[in-house]
Amino acid sequence: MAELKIVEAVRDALDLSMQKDPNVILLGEDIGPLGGVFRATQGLQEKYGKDRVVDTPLSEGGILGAAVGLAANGMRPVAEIQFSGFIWPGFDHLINHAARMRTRSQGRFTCPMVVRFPAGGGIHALEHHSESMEGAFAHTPGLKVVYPGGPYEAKGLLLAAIEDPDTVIFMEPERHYRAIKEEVPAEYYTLPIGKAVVEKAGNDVTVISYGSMLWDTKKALNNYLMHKNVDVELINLRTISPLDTETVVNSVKKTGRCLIVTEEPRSFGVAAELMAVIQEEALLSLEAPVVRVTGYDTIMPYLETEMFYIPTEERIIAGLEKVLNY
Amino acid sequence: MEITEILVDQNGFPAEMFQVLDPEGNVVHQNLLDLVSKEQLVDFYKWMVKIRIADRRAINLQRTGQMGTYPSVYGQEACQVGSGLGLEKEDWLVPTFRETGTMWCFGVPLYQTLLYWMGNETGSKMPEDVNCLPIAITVGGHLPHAMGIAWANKRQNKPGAVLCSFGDGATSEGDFHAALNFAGQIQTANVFFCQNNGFAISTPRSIQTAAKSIAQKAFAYGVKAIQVDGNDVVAVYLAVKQALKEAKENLTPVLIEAVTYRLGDHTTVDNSKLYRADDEVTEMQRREPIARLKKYIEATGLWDEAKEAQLLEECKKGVDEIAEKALTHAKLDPKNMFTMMYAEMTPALQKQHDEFLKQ
Repeated sequence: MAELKIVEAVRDALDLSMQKDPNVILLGEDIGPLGGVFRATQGLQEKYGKDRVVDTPLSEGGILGAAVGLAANGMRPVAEIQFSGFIWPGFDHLINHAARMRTRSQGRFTCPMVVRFPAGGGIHALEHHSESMEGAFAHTPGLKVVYPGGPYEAKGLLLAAIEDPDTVIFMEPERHYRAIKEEVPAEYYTLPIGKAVVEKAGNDVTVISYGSMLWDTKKALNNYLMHKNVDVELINLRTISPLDTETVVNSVKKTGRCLIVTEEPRSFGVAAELMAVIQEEALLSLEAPVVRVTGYDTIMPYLETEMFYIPTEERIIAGLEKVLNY
Repeated sequence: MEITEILVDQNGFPAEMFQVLDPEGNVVHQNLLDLVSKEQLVDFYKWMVKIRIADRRAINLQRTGQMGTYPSVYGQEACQVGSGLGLEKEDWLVPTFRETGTMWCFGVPLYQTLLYWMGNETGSKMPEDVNCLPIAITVGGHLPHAMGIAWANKRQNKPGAVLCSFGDGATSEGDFHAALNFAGQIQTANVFFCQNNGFAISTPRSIQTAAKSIAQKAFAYGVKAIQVDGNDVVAVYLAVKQALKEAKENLTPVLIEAVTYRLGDHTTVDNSKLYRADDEVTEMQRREPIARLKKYIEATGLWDEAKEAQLLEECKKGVDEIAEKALTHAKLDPKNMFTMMYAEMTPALQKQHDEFLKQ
């Protein structure tokens, strides 16, 4: 089996989906000859032509609005937004149109489109290139939000997203695009949207993360567990919305303790939703209050100080010890 | 041709692209050239050279790991100098991200711009006496802000016009159209200054719009337009001056399309060889702005090799000092991310701030 980086697994999924379904069309800025600024679409325009891998004029509103129309009329658009912070001029089309097309037309029209973009910070990029705003999308009824961690799941989940009958926001871990390599099957396969995975089973404490922070969390745990004897259960959410509450609740019922690690701003986010679900369904199993280690309720700082925003190994371990020693 | 004729409405368009000096340094309109003094011509030249040297230094800082991603202004020095020096102190500049030279000409210290690209928020804090918004990284979103600033000027009877700079790519964003439409309808003193440098990262101007020119987009909004040779610093300067005059005196917004060429990469993380031919760049190199003016000022005895050597030495020394100032500037205290969020920290933020300091 070939070892692929995340960005290569994304490209592989796009390639296979275009082979399989002639209605799949890619649209975005600089995705043609350049292959996207992260090269996720490299070689695809050469292979499938300018009509299927389309360099659009520079307009996120145009890209996402056109994708709504394409999807409503039988196509399977996969839109690339160059960086997370550039999506907002097109947010109207997601929140007011893509998310509502099925409901508004009472099923007459639907919006099976995928919106891909890199998310998270840590690559010393410019302003608006490093945000983790999954909570804003997950808070929009009608959207699905997928945020894979590694190459294997990026490929399987992206293929599932393209097949999905509704709009899927597909976030890609920017700082791990080329940092993580995994064995990825060459063939077409999908992984279920809405299903978390238990990366490692354990009995003492449940640790939940996803996307970019999954790797920081794993690293922190690996270093910690070299010296400490704690039986950690690690859950990788893979999908933010719909949330796999079953996997989360079963785990917390077993361990009685839970740490959540995310990069998003702290308040009103994914971590907050997980804490609410745990409180609703596993309160009596809890041995300690659930702890969340997150980004802050601040603007992502410029590159000189961005590392102070992203949860560090020290903060993750402090959170773990807080929940263990309560 | 008279200076007033460069400004056209839909009845007069398309006109020829406005030019004062051709690429060989020949005079196209002597009467218009006479509108600038000999001292100004030399000043334009010095600024363009200074900006090119600063730009190279900035690229070098990035290449040596001392600065983050940087968008070069190489090839666009005439646009930068013509617009930056065309503004008056009372005016506003609402800049996009490729404006190292424009901002410097307008009074933003260069070390601050370098500091910005080094990733220090202090770089975005403009001096109190310079009406310049922080650099806009997102494309096109700042155009309606420029309109709003001009509207506030109008409401409060404040003097000055607002020059908003952007690239050809930005004209595809909805905000471009909203801004021009508002400005045309509400009649504000706005100059929308488009540096059409041929590319939005890899996307050529031909993919950006099927319209023949960007300038003509103005007419749909009742806005006047000028299309100018963006590599002719005299023409750019005169166009900007005329547009500012029109905006201030008649409250008529103006869209300027300055046709130039991005000789460098989009940014230091781009490789333009992947999407454009070397031949094209070589051809455009021939039309670059500095050589053009140099030919003219040398031919007219305003400039010689001795002056050139002295200028280069002064610029290098000056830019080195400025770079050093940025490099040795105090790092930003990371607690700034909390304290700068609101006039007063919210309770949740205060708690996060306190926990952050304890770590």
